[in-house]
Amino acid sequence: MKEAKLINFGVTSLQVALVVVLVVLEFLSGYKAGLAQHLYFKKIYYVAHYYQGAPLLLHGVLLLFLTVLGVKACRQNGRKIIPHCYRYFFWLAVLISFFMLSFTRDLNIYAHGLMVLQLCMVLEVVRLMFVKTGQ
Amino acid sequence: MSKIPMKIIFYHMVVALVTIMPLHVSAALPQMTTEQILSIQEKQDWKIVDCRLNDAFNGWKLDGVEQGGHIPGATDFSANWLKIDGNEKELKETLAAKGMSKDKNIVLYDANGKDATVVAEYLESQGFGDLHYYDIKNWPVERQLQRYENYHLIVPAVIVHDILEGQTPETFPADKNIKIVEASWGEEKTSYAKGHIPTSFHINTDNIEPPTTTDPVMWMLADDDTLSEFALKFGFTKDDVVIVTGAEQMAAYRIALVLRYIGVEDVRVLNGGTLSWTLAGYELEKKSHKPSSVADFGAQIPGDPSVIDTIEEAKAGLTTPDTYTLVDNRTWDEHIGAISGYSYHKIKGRIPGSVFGYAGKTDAYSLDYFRNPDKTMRNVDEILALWQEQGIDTNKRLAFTCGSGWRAAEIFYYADVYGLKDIGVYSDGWIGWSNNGNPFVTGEPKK
Repeated sequence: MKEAKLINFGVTSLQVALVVVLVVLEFLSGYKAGLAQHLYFKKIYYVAHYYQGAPLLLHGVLLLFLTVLGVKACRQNGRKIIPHCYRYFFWLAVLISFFMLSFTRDLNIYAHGLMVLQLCMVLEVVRLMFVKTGQ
Repeated sequence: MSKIPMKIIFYHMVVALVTIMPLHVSAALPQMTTEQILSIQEKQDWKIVDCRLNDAFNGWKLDGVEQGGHIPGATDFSANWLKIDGNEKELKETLAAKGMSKDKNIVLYDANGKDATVVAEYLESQGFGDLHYYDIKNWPVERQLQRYENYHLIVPAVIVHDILEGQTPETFPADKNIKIVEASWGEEKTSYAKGHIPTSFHINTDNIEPPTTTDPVMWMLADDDTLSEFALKFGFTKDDVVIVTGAEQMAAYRIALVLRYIGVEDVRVLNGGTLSWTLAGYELEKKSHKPSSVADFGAQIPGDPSVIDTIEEAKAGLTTPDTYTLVDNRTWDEHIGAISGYSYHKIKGRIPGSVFGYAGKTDAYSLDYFRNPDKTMRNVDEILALWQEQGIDTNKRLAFTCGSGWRAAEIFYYADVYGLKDIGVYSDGWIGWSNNGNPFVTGEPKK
């Protein structure tokens, strides 16, 4: 029980912290030329090397694997997919929107955002795997 | 008598003492005559020092002098530099670089009776003893002062202020439209909104060098069509007189260079950036101004392509080292390939055949070797001495280059102020060169 609370708290805190860092970085990049250039460089580099063509397909496969893992973990712990997986699907929806929308594509933290959202989904699966029903 | 009047008398006495203290120092300096100045000009144990704004040293007629410029053979140590906090180390290095040592007799001169006093106080605090004073207003009109050929290209804050007051200062045409612009990277919030020269409008440098949208990331000069659109959008015409300002003056020089390339005939830069404005005691403005677009630039764009060398021109120039020098204005560590200088660029090295021409001491955004402590242009004699040390012949065409054209633009302007005739900027710089798969070298160059 205590362990589950700790995991719940840890996962949520980490997710919030990661998102806050993203927001702060994007905000500061509007004021700091060096930071903006660095983020932009990383964005173009990551998009070119990790979010296009074959690597993007691999991301799709990993996402599918992660979804299956999450759903299985949910069932193993005796819970219904809906509503217990809502957080996972929330992050999935945010990730897809973030990937597709032109507004988010223009952000300096676009690539970092995709990575953070994927990490949030992994954390969500960890939560589903280690926190049982009612905990 | 009550206690209150006594207190008032005491405070008045303190104020009076503080007020006359500098005058006392000035009066204590032995006054030199013009004849004495002329007699010591060539003497090695004497140093004549211009304490005025560097713009006066460069050639501007400030503080009511009849002639602009400096006494031949004089060096500069502006009282303005002492207004900058926390630069004691830099000031000591500057003294050494100018050969101002305690064993020399030093003549400090100014035109307002204040600047030399301020410098004298500083020098006395550093242990200098043999200080003398000369009033430059006593300099005979028939004797030519030395001034840089194109000193008008970098403008002092007081002149910009005069323009805003509706005056037409020296070197400015009375019949032309003078535009004051602020150049910096990013949107207005990045720098412009924090304070800018009154009436100026903002130019984001991304307008003239939009970042690439594919890997590798670069900020290269836009093509001529994009620059034409830029000129019209911001309302520039070939007949404009433009003064470019900015908190980071490297951006201002970059925009100024590009405006010249486009074909604007008279493009000047505020010497020392917005710092010079605040040091002069003027207020920055926070109100946003927008440019008015125009339909016609008035000439073919680019109007002056000679100021920018393309990669092909740089390559061709490197094959004729007898007439062309590619001057690498990056830090030494960038030049030898120890660092790339930029977080967004990984290739380290230099263009084969390029010659080290100095830039900053710390990073890719510094220009210590070319600026005074107050960020104004450094004394050209000292710049030329650095280049001579590296074997740079100013009779050849000098193409200045750096990472992607910012540092080189500022140095180009300084060379132009001095009057070098055949100069340009290889704008794409190291980043453009190395990302294009061109050969490069690393390590210390062989002399």
